[in-house]
Amino acid sequence: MMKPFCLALLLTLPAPALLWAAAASDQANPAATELIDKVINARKTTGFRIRAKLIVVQAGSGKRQTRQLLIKGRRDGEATKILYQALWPDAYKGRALLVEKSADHKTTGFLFTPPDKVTPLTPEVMKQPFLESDLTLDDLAEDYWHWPLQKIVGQETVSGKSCQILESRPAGRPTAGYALVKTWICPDLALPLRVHLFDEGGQLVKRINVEKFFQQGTRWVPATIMIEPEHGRSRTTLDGSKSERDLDIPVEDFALGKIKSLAK
Amino acid sequence: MSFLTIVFKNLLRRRTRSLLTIAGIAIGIAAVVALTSIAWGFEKSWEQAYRARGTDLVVTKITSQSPMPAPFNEKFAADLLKLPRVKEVSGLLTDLISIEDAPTTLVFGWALDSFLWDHLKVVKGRKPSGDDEKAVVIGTVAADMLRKSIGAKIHIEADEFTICGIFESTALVENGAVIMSLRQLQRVTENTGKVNFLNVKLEPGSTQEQVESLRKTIKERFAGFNAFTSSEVAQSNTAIQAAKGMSWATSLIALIVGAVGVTNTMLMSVFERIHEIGILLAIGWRRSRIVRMILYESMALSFLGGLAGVALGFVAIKVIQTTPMIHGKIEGEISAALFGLAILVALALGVFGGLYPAVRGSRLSPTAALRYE
Amino acid sequence: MSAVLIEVRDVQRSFDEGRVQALRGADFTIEEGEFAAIVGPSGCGKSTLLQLLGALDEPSEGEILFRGKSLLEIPDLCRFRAQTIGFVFQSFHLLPTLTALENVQIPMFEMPWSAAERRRRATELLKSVGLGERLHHLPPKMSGGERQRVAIARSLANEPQLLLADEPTGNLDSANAKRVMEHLQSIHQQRGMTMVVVTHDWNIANFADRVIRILDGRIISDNRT
Ligand SMILES: Nc1ncnc2c1ncn2[C@@H]1O[C@H](COP(=O)(O)OP(=O)(O)OP(=O)(O)O)[C@@H](O)[C@H]1O
Ligand SMILES: [Mg+2]
Repeated sequence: MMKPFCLALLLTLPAPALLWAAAASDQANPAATELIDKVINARKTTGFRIRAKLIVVQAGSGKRQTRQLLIKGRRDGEATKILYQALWPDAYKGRALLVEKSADHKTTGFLFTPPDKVTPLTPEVMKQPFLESDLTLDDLAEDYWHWPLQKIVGQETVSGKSCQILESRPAGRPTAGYALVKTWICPDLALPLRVHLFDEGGQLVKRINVEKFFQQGTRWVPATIMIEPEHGRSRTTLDGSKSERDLDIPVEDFALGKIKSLAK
Repeated sequence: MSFLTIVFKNLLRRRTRSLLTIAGIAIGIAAVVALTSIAWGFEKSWEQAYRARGTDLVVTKITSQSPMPAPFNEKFAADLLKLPRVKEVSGLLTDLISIEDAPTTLVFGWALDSFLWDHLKVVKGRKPSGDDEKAVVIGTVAADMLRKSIGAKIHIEADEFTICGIFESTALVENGAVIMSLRQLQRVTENTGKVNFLNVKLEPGSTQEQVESLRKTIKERFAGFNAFTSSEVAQSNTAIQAAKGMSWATSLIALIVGAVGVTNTMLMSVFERIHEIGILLAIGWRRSRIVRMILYESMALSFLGGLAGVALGFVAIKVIQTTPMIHGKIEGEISAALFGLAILVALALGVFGGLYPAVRGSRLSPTAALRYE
Repeated sequence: MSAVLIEVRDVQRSFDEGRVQALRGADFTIEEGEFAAIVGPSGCGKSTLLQLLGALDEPSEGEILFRGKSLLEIPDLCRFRAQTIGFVFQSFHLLPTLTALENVQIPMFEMPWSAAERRRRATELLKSVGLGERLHHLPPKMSGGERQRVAIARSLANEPQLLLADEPTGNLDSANAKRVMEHLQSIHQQRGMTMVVVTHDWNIANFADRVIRILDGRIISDNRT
């Protein structure tokens, strides 16, 4: 499990998570599998680099805080690595989340806080917000599309595009914070346009909406993604400023030494 | 009494309707004025940027879909230097970077010994002293947008720089930009050894034909590369083309709406005056005079609409220029040519909009029109 | 014996593809300097005949000659009307937004006169019908008699050779009607202008030197006094 499609969405370009994902699980119904594969294939790349701004807006005061973010990904066969690292402002600079997925969807990685604190990704840690935004580490690391139960439950128009609604459920107790994820996927764009995340009690926890998307070459990519918790005091926008794909990002870029060097 | 008195008295009888029609035309013309002005200003500002640099030709790699041309090996400059009449070649890297919490900013990387620096006027501080110095100069407009002054730190990508100077350029795009040494920008954007523009300066006194022939040579000899003159760079810039296209399309729609409004108003006015037109024909007015009367009325409406539209458009330009997205990057062009164009367009709109009603009105039979109540 | 100004030759006029026979056959001449009245009950075809005389309309059958020349051969009838004929209508037909002075100037646009000349002539004409004090009044603010006198002034604007009036007193009380008719009579006398007045009222017809009676689209009598 890794790269939640959320991310995928997020990223201006190649959706990191999506990119790497392998075929969906056996229990998924065939139409759902086909749809997921379509999105995943449209997003596959050897490596990517994305620059984005994470903008957190407080509900009451309207106060905006911006963090500049660098996101890099690399793929080796079916295994993938994604690094999220803050560049600005100083209070966050260097903070990073490394998510590594093995070919069989095992997640490893760590959270790095300068100058040299390394926290392994335990289920507790995964529930924390990333850079004090409305995204949790789970949102960035969990790969819902590899959950065993996937089915298409309907159709709806989002942002003027006709979308299929995909329901994803984990087998048994949820490993990530959510028990049900609904994704509105536009098959024509091979792009998810909306995600709703539900808890075990069936309550909506968070909404993720692609506010802007555009065509880059043959692919449709999200440019602005809005994350709104159902009961939060803020909302977060992920706003891509640049994205490059089909790159070869050196494996050293994902090593602790290199991650630390940026924070110095 | 002159003929025009009749025309204006006719317009004055339905003041509200005339005013609304004028307002409709004014909005259309204002859209034309504002959009055209911005598109022209945008183009001019790019052109100035290249002219100001003393550049005769700009060489880039042919790329599609990206707002910036793709980077290529800077050694290519040496090949260009071997061509006849080429005096200097200066490689530079240009990128659009999201800096801190400012809108996306243009960042230039220029070799420190390049002639490109010559046209900048450093109003405060100095330019970076060496390739290793992590320092930038920023334009006066960029200083406003980033809310930074000299000596401040600025984060660009993963790195921190010191602002060592503030400059002013004749080219507006540059005033909103951040400039650092080529080596530093190559490093922060991970483009070591690469540039995406080569600025070529010819021997002094080179003619237009010589520039043109060099351009052909470059295109023929180096596949995948393109060479442009300064004004072509502006014209071929996809953003400028898009801006021009948008401005034409929007203007056209605004004008069609305006012309339909004029036609509607004038048709209503002709129908209301069937009886009067009958009187005019009975007492001997020629049909051509009826056509002229109605056309003059619609042209008077559109002329007044045009004047109001120009005024409104100039206000709109000022307002648009203060929006953060555009501020300092584009200066709308306000010129006599634009004023003339707007008035001509307005008059044309009056003629087109009034033609059908005028012909309708003049074709009435005097006896039938006199009976009409 | 004076010269023939208008010759009406077997003229018929029908409307609605022949279903309405407004004029069933008129054959007469009007001589230069004559003051004729056309009299008949409502709907008998008086206005139709007057419009044909004034080249506002064309006959279905027959033809009308003006000074020996068929109206059908005149290339620009608007111009012909402007320069040769003056009209006065029952309901005045003034332009409501223009002052008396401006209304009188309207036909003058077809003449090669300067603005000053137009103004001078219009002022004189209005004075001659007793409206020297009303030059800048708008028609809706004037009495019916005043309006009709403005209309008479306008009909004279281009010094026509023929003045055609259709029920010029139809909307006026008897005092005003008399005054308007006296004006017409004096114009006829002073200028020697040919005049044809349509009316259903014998009192009005008696101002004329000649009375042509119409009934059901046909001339039934023609008497000179
Ligand atoms: N354009 C027309 N179309 C159809 N019928 C018409 C038209 N003009 C006149 N008529 C008919 O022709 C007949 C004569 O009309 P005309 O107006 O000449 O009468 P008139 O003698 O002037 O009557 P009045 O004294 O009421 O004005 C009438 O029956 C009228 O309805
Ligand atoms: Mg009548």
